[in-house]
Amino acid sequence: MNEKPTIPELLRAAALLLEERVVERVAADAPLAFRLRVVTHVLEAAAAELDEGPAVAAERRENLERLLHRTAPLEVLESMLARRLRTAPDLDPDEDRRIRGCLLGGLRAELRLYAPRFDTRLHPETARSEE
Amino acid sequence: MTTLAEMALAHALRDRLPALLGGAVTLNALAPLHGGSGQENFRLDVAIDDGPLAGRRTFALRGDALQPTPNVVSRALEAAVIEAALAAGVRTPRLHGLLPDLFGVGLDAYLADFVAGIALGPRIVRDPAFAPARARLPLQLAEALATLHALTPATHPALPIDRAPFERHLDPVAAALQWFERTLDALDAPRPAAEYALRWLRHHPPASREITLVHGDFRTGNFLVTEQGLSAILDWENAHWGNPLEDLAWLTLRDWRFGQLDLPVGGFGALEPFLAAYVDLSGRPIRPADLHWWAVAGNLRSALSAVHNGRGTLEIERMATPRRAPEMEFEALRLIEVGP
Repeated sequence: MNEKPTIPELLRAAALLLEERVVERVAADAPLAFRLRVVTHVLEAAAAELDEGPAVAAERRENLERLLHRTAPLEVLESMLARRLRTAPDLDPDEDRRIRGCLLGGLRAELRLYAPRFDTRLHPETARSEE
Repeated sequence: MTTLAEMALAHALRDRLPALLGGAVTLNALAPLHGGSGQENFRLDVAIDDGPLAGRRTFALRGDALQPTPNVVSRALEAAVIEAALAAGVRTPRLHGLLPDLFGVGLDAYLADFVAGIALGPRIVRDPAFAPARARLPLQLAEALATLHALTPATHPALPIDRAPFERHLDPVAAALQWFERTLDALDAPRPAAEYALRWLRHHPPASREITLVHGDFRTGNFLVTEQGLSAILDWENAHWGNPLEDLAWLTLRDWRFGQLDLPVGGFGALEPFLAAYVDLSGRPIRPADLHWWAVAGNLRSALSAVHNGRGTLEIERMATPRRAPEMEFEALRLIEVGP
């Protein structure tokens, strides 16, 4: 058993303190309350990135490897795809759809980390509200 | 807590306000305003002893930031845009003159009326007290945009806001594409989702190429609202010559709905009546495909700005923005997927 709290646990504890004890106390100062909410969000995102970032990056890399039929680090695959999108004169409609599907999948994975409440359905407007 | 910089600013204002306001001035209070974080914004409470503005007054002071957001106009040019908009009949705070070099050499400021109202998006879209305002806002905003978009390079040949790539002689679609490409190329790492959106924009250009004055950041959070409705349009720093649909689409972006996704107009209004009012008031027909193009473009712009603005800063709000870029990239690709 690990005797020390992990860094993500420390970050989440700090975020919780801000959210539950501090933001409410400065509610009258709306700009400060807003800044503290940003800080809370940053701490939560940092914790998520430390916990789940490697798995999300691996998922994105595997998606790109399947799309491009290449094995390489994520940055190399992203660079290859970006170059193809900038320079290829025409894309077959099927390839275009596959690329878009792959990119949407990668973005959904990133959003699980950075904006877990972001509705990634194709028609989110059917939901009443989103935070 | 008053900072040293605020004390120095108060000292400079005591020296310079009498000449600007035409009478002896007592500065009673100076407080920073945090809205519009791209510039230096303050609230001033003053007493003016004589002259045309005699009495107790509150002003907003808006100054050039030391580290401005790229490609925005200076306060001097923003003041020229505001004067033009005011003269056309757009609701925006009246100006009381420019204070050159107030924040340092080349860092000017202007003084404007302090107008009542709030700009906080979440409150505007949710607070029950603002329900009457939400009912009125779509028509008031359609009116403001129709009035603003009547200003063109032909009606205002001397308005000096041209800056690459937003120049009056350049096709606004080409200018937007050029800005996207330049901004993407200036980033440290490739962003294939943004490249996909840019490619789609190139291959599906809109038909409308009209050029008017465009506010450039027309969205919930950049206008003041009272419980009765619109009180003033703010933050003209992104004003440029461009296509009017850019402003209409920007107001409908998901990010500016503050969670009210079923209300595309700023998080408080339905799209159809807003567009119908705008078409009626402006006489400018709107092709849904063109508006859709500008919505995809708006999300791409927002994503690239989020990445760009988070670099080289120690301000927590700005440092947080690059990790928000996937939200806008997702929305651009989602809009492409579902179509107009």
